[in-house]
Amino acid sequence: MSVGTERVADVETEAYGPEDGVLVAQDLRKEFGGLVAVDDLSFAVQSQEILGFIGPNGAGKSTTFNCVTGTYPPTGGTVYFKGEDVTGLPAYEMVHKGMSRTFQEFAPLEDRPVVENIELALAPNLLFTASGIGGETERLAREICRRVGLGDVMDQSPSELPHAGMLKQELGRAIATQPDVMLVDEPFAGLAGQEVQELTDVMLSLRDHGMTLIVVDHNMRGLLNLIDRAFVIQFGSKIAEGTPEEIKNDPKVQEAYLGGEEI
Amino acid sequence: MATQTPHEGELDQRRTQAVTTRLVSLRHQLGILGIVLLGLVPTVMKPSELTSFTFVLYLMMFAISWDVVSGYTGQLSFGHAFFFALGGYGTSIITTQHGLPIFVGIVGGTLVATIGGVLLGVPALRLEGPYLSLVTLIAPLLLYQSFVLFSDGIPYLAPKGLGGTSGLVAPPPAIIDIGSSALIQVDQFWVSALGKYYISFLALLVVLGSTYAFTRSSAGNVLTAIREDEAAVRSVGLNPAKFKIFAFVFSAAVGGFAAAVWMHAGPTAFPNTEAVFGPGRIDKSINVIIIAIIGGMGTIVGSVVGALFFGFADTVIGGLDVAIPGVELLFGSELTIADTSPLPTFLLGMIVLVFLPRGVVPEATEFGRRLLARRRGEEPPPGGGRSPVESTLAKYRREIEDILGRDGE
Repeated sequence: MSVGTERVADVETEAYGPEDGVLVAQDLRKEFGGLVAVDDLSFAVQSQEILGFIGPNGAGKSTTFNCVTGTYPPTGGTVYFKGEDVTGLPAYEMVHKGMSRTFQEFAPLEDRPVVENIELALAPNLLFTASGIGGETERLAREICRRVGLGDVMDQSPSELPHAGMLKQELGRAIATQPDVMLVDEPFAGLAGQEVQELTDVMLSLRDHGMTLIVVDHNMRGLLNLIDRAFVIQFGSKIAEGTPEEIKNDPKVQEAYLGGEEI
Repeated sequence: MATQTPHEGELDQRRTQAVTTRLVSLRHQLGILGIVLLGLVPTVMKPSELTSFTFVLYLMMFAISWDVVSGYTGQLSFGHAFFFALGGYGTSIITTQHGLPIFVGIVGGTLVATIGGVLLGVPALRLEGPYLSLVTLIAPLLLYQSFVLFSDGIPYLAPKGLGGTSGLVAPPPAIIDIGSSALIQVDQFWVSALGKYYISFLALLVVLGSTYAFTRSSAGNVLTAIREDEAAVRSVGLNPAKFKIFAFVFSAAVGGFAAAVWMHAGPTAFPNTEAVFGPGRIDKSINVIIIAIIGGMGTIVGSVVGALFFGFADTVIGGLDVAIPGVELLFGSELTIADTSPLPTFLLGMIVLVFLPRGVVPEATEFGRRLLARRRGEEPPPGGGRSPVESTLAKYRREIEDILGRDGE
């Protein structure tokens, strides 16, 4: 028990500088009215690692990442990306900086086939452009579809895709923006074993190509084969950090999950 | 995001090739044929018929201007006549009250409409939600009132006034006409009708060309994606506000330009409120929406076809002076079908919405594609998901529910 308290004290004094990782959050805070969703959270993500960002439902995982990726500005704290202060930048600018994300609730464009959904992510943020006329973005979009395992269905409407297909499309869309850091929100929710393995392979190969991944999930079961390091939060604060093995045996984490149930 | 495209070197060559193959595709051959036929219309029409048909060309341009912003982004403008009024009055005042040449008037009128677009669009489109619709509902009515308010004159801008509801006193000079005020004076009616038609046709080509190029570039894809889901657009690094505002301002400029040319080359153009807003102040704004939806929302070409349908229906129905049986017995006075205008035209729009929800042009294209595929013995291509009208309506429902604080299903 005494070990546990020491550790918490450790955590609270931790301070990160802009150069401590590719993505660094320092004292990140988000309040909604009187409710504190993210409570002075600090963390650093190293280049080319796969970080599992874990916490029970309502722990503040999504809010944290909405603040980091610019969906809404944080109430306080600083976000550094590649050593640069990017706090409060709008979402589309974060994408330009090299940070992309997938969504838990998919937002496919239902008026066009899968490949054109991916193609949108290749469109430049310009009003006047000749990009795409020569068919090169279409070719690239098709290649991305094949890489994420949508090769057979890329000409279908996204509404015809099964759940796993939607996830792959989200992943493809995020990849198409050529991110350095990609945030993947609950990739394995509602997937069968075989599909989990397929997606795991895709993400591992992305890491091998130099990408940094942050995978958000409410439990770690599906993530064990994927992540290098886990970061566990509850009520908007960090409760543990370490390798998956360490996290599994951490009493604080076990307590957070239904009073000691194994995660 | 540094989008690196493979084989950068041969890109120009491939683009040229892609454009060429696209232009010789059947769809575009038909399109070009259509334009050529439109250019040959004067060979089969009497000058008086041609004069009324010339107005259809302006309907096309007005509907295209609406389609660029509302058809593509799904941000419905209910008051596009605001821009037609700005363009039309702009050029009329520049030429008659400031005595400047017609060319300056047209450029100036376009500019006035563009500024109007910036003033409405920038504040309304930075917000996500149905705010643009609300603003565009009010804007033409305010403009209408200001025509009355400043009927006697605005210092420097319009020294002789805006003329109230009856319009400007001095008609804007025509580019080509019989009278002595025209730029090019002719002495025969048919020459003037022909000249007006081709000037209008030229303006249509300019409008069609610029809007077509813009919407077929990748920016067009971004616009339609905004119609589907703005969050998705933001999440791939595109700024929706920038695209929406540009589309709106561009649309305002196109509408203003069309109205400005109309004042100098149109058949029945006169700068009064009835001409620019329609007899009921909002008719013209609503008509362009119906035209674009009949032809196919978010296609540009659809507006051309829609205007033909609309003009045709209007002419046919306007000519039906047959009394509707039974009405006289009920109400004591006779009512002809022509009197019920614009109800039949609206009915036509409703029928198209129900049976051809994508509009005439996209449905015809898909039908043709299936037919070709069947003839070649191939699998028919898959249908293309949700129609623009459906998406737009779904978006509005969502946004209004957000405002009312109600959760969607």
